[in-house]
Amino acid sequence: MTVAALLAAAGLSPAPAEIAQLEADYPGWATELSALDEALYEEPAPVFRAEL
Amino acid sequence: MVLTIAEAAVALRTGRTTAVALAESAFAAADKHDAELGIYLSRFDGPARAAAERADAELAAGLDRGSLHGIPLAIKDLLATDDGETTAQSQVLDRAWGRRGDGPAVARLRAAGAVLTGKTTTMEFGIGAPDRTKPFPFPRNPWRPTHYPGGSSSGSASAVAAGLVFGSLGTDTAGSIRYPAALCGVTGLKPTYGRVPKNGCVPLAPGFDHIGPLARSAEDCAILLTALAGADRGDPSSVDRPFEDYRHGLTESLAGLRIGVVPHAEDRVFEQTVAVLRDAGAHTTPVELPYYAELKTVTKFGLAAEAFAWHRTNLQGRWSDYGASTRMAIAKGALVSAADYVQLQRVRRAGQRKLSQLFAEVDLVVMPTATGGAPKIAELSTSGMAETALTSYWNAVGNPALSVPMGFTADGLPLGLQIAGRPFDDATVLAAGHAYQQRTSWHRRTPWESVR
Repeated sequence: MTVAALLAAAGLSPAPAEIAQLEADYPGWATELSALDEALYEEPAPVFRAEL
Repeated sequence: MVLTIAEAAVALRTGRTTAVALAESAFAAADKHDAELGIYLSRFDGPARAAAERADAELAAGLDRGSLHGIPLAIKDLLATDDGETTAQSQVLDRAWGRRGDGPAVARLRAAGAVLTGKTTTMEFGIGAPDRTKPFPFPRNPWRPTHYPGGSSSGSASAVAAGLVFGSLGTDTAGSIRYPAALCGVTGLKPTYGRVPKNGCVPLAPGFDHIGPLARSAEDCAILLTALAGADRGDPSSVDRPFEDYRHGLTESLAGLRIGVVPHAEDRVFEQTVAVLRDAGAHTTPVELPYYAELKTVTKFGLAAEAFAWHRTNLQGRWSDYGASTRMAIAKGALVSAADYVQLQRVRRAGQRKLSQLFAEVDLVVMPTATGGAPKIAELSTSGMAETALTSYWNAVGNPALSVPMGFTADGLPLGLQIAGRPFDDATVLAAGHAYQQRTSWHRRTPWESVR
């Protein structure tokens, strides 16, 4: 999905200049977030416990 | 008002001052400086004067509530209080929310006899950048009003720096206590996550938010944390762990303490500061923080995702009522996927585990609080602030972190040293800050004297 489509799906209505700004920033953010996948290569999955 | 809380408490009990005199001094300082510095969103002169009169009467009758009894303090306007509405410096927040009254943190200060003088400026909802288009005071740095005091606890830091109050409450989601403390030349503590309950505070990102004190000294922060600490049923993230009076652990020596030093390139002031810690008896060794870049990413996007969750309905219907930088910072959270958020939580756990290994080898970690002094207001940007503050790592892991004044830039703006410790070892963090302040006088400097 494009940034504009993600924002629309979230129900947000930014101005065109604001959408353009988020579109410009997004590739860098995606790179930062994908770096987490590499850091977690050998980490266990999230844990859920039934008891409190 | 350059006394510390500890010194004012002594003055109150030896008859050298009264709570009413301290309150009147606080009002006079606000009358003199607030219009220029943009510290208060609302003042509680009437209730504060009544509280001060009550404190004097109680002390005269032999009822002593401790070191905060009769001491003027200010509250960041994200925290609800009985004395007036909470706005979060926003036109969006439901005013009914702000009429809830004291949450446990504020109630505990009030029960300790503190005199609450008013609500201080922030960024809207604690995120973004100051916005001149909105009908709120614009915060300025007491050291140089053309410069920013830091955020988001802007008014809480500048109120202490400018001598309007002895201490204040702030909140810290990515550095919002420590960054303004550093830029304003005061001391600020982000306690361990869960140490101070957060109900009664407008959330920004509940998994990263902390309430904590700002004051002139580490000793004063110890006094304030002792009043603030302890679980509350209204905040499930608060932790019921025992604690002692944080002032009892303060000493002048760091003998035997192992301090990890995060290298900071060509920073003469930081190097001199580490030398002071060594002179105090600490053994220092260079360290690298595990998952440093990744945990900064965790705070950046985890904060945005959680803030978006809280604001989504209002953003959908009232986009233009938010300030431009605030709505853009929160809208970033709409671009964080569910899978991203799961990964963020996994990295937090992995980072905590690695960091606990580091804290088996050292007792504390020190690093600068920011890469430099206060930026010019004319050059402010949300991303610029995020790059210069070296604080958000500690929000991702939850460990306690203190900022203490450590000197000045070449052109006379304050700099902060950040001291971090093990989870729930806030006492050692405060002890190191106190020992450092016994050997330096940076925390005693005020904007009204030349530092060049």
